[in-house]
Amino acid sequence: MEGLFTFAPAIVLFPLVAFAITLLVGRYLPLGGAIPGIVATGGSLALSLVMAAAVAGGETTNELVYTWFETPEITFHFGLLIDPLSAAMLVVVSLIAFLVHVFSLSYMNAEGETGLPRYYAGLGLFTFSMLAFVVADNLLMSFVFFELVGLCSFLLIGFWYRTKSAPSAAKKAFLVTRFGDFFFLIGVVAIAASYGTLSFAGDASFVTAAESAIDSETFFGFDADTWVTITGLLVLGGVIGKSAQFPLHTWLPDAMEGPTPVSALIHAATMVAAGVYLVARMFGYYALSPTALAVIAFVGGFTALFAATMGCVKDDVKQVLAYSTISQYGYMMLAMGVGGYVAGVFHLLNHAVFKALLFLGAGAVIIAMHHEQDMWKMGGLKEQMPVTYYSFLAGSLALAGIIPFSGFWSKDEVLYDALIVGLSEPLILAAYAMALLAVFFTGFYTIRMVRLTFHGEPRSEAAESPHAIGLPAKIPLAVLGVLALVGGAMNLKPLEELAGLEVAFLERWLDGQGVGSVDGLTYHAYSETVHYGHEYIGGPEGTVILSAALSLGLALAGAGLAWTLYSGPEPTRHTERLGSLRDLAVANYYQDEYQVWLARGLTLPLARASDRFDQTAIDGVVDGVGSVSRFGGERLRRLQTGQVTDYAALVILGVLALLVVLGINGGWFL
Amino acid sequence: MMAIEGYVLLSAGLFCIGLFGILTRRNALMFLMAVELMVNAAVINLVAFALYHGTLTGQVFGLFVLGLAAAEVAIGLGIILVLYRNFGTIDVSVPTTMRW
Amino acid sequence: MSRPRLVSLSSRLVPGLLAIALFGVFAAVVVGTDFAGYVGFPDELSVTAEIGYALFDFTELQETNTESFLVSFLLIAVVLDAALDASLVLATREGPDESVRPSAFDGPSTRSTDDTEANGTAATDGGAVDGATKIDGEPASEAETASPTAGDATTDGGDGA
Repeated sequence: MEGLFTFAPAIVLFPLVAFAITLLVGRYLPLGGAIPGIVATGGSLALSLVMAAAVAGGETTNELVYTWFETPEITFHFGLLIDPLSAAMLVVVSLIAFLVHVFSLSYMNAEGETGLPRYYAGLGLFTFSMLAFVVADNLLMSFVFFELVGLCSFLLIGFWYRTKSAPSAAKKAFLVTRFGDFFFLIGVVAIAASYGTLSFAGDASFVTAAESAIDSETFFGFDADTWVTITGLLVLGGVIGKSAQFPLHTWLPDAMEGPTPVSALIHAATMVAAGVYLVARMFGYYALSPTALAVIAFVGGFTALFAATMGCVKDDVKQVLAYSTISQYGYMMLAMGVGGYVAGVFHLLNHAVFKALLFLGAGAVIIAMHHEQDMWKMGGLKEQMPVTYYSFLAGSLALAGIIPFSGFWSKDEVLYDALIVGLSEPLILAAYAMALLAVFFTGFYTIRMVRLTFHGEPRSEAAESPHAIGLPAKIPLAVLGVLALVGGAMNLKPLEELAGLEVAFLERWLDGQGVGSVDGLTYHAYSETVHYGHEYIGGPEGTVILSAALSLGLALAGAGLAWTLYSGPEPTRHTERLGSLRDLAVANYYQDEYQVWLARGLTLPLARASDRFDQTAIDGVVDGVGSVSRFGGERLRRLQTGQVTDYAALVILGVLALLVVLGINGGWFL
Repeated sequence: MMAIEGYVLLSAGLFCIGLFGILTRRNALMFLMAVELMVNAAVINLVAFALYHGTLTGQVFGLFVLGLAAAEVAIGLGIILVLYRNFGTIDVSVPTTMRW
Repeated sequence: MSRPRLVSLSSRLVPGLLAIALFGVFAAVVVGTDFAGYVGFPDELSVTAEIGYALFDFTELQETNTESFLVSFLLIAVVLDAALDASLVLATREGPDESVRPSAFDGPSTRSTDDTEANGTAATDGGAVDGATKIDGEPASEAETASPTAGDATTDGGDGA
């Protein structure tokens, strides 16, 4: 490691130190131990910006920091991989973490919560885990911190452990993601066993090994390309769990039980983002397998629509945001699945900003409403909380994909990438269609949320006289609001296509054009590997216009519908009109029920049966051995009579037997 | 000169007589005497084979064994005394506390 | 009263068969072994003198080259001494108040066992008697007649002093 990158480990270690300090002496610190966390994440943010500048200056690093242990076949180590992707992610993660820490001063401290050192320690550990995950240079290190992120989410979702629902939600989040991580672990082991390396980059990476193995080698009886698909899908199990994709998305809405800043951190930058980031990190590997890509794309497209429909009928502001998160990560997965690496990362970064904004905005609203989360009891907050309103509106428009807010640009690029691939691949086209339809629903539920929360007349006492929110809450909102407005400028791809301006900055950044890059981890390297062809309607320009028009039109249609339906001072409930469809969506399509049924009806009897087998067959054998020994011992100990004569007789008997045997064998008797 | 077999047979016989005493008697003093017989059987063997091999080592060892036998008797009598104090008898079949 | 007698033939003799069987095996082995290669000692050799020389490391005086046993000799001497001390320790009563009666002694009847030789205990018992009280009303006749024969009377006397 050289130059500026010498300081790179500090990015990761600052929050860890903050965690340790807060945990050990937090109760003696002012503000419930918030200071170390704010300082540490601020330091991480500053250093991340320095790293990004270094990458912009053409440097990257892929260095080994610590060798865990090594064998002749494989070395397990911890290392740093800082390339354009991780540098960008570092900045976003540390920024969001910093802002969440600051916001917490309003949300937690000002509300007189107890257990604050525990809260800030959890945030610190969470930030540390995620930052270490971002800079991980190999799959094992990723896995370790992936798990640690899961642990932190457990700790923070269950922060209010005295309530009944929070511990239950924490357990659910932990177990559901653990279910996915189980496949991830198998995938890691499989990759390590077949390629002998777990590194992401460099000549000794498993991506390179897999590339050279295709068409020439077989692993465990599978062709190399089949094996890549299998292992890729195994790792994808962890991604689906963490990024809350169908069918493992059920934990995420429940995770709203945690404090709202934690929700912001989980949904925007850390836990949920970890899944998609992992796909981006090892995209070269997925690019080798068209099947895995198609699965990613289809799951993504389906989840986008699926979650969006549920978001339309929720009354709790945080629930709406939760389903929007699932839906938006679906878009990212779709982008990854169609080879739109840049689009996916673009949406990941944008989403991090505007979803953090929305959650913090919702947090501000919740403070103002004295911890009331039902949107039907709000209303009319626009005049009372202008800063919150305008920043929240910016986030909402970004989420809905309205031009010129950031979400429009990234979502449009995702859909465009899906469309040009989908024109020749029916499956992708189906995924595209679902994602496109989800745009309509996204617009609808977003504007419905804004409408119900901020417009109309106050519908409860709390809404009439909202609680004032402090400056620590307003500053993050303002910062993120501005970013949500201008974030799209990172990658104005349509303008580049249509007007020929060179404004696709993120694409160049991720491609290493003019900035540092690691061989094999660039956009065009991935594009060469992905097997998709591209087709256009009316040429590239025409397709760009068509795609943008479709998505914007649908978003506006959805938004407009919500705007009119929920207009007026006393909006009426319209969702009842949907009848049984609404019930279905409110019940989350009975996902929880069928998973509980799977657990109760299938897993439990199976576990019972194996328990019975264990109790009878296995324990029977073990107990049998014990009983036989005990019984035999009970009998044998009667030999020990305490009579010296008997002992002597026994000894002589033994000697006699020995003598006779030895004598016969040795021919002593004549 | 007596053949070596004679000495060895004598030794074996003496040993087995001692053994017989141990296996059938209960009196601790008789035990001691029987043990003494067995020790002396071993000594006869030592002396006999010393003659057989033409070295004096066996004979010297025989002397040592006699000395050790004296020590053993001293300890043995002491033990018998304690036995008597504790059990009121020197019947070795009475003290059976060191068992299951 | 304490003369040796043959034990009555009973089931108690059954373990003795083992000894007889062992003798049978020994005899069979001895008979079956060819003791060729007999060496023996030279006729003019004084075995006793040679042993003496060997015990005291007088190698110049030796006619055979027996190894020397001075150290072993001394060790045996120490062991004998230790054994003597140990027997004294075992025989010594633990205090002047200690009754001569055994702790498990509850009357003359327990003293006689079905083994007739058990009467030999009288000697030990008698030795203990004259060092301690007779208040206990020890069944005297047997003990006192036996006391002169007690080998360890001196021990008890020393203890009493």
